[in-house]
Amino acid sequence: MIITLVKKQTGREFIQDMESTYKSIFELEKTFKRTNNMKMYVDLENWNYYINHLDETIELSESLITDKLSLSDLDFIILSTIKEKSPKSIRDLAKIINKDVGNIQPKVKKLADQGFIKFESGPKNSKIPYLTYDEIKIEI
Amino acid sequence: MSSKTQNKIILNDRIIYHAITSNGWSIVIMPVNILIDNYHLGYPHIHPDSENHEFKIKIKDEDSEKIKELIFDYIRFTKKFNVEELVELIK
Repeated sequence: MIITLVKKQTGREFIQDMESTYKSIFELEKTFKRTNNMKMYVDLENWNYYINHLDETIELSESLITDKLSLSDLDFIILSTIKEKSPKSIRDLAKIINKDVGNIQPKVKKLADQGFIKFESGPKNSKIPYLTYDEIKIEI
Repeated sequence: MSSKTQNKIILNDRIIYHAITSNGWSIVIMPVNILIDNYHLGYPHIHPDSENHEFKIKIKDEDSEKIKELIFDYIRFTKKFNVEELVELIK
């Protein structure tokens, strides 16, 4: 099974991601020279490119080839609810789909571990779930 | 505005990164640290030795999607990664 997560971002957002990964282009250059890591070499090339193309659109995709992944109906309901209703916490998500928060929490954690969702900090230590990608494609 | 792509494929214990911009394209295979790209020289080439970035071997195909497919199949169906075998396959 091939699961592909797709999202669009601008060159500006790409640079923000690079900054949060490497801090600065100089840091990346320094680390690449020390490690010879080819992924860093390419990140450096792309960073230099997008500095001058901030408004260009990039289609980002991440494909995972696995036979182990299983997504239940409830998983799909959770994903579509997060996308369409933007719940403010896991408790809020459970309330929207009429489920017990204790049952939802491990499902949400599994989806986060699989890379489908992320969290941002909300009020009173709550975690706001959001989809990391715009589209999920599944090929068998 | 033109659209550029960045693709990450997680396959077995390898990751293939494929990026396309107006300046060219690149494919990186990690953790074996192999780079295939057409940056700077204007023709596609592989850097089979990450410790010696200046060492490059020209490859025949210009189409990075096709090269990515070859690499994908190689990693999918070959248990042991061998850079010489990969070079033979794509050069």
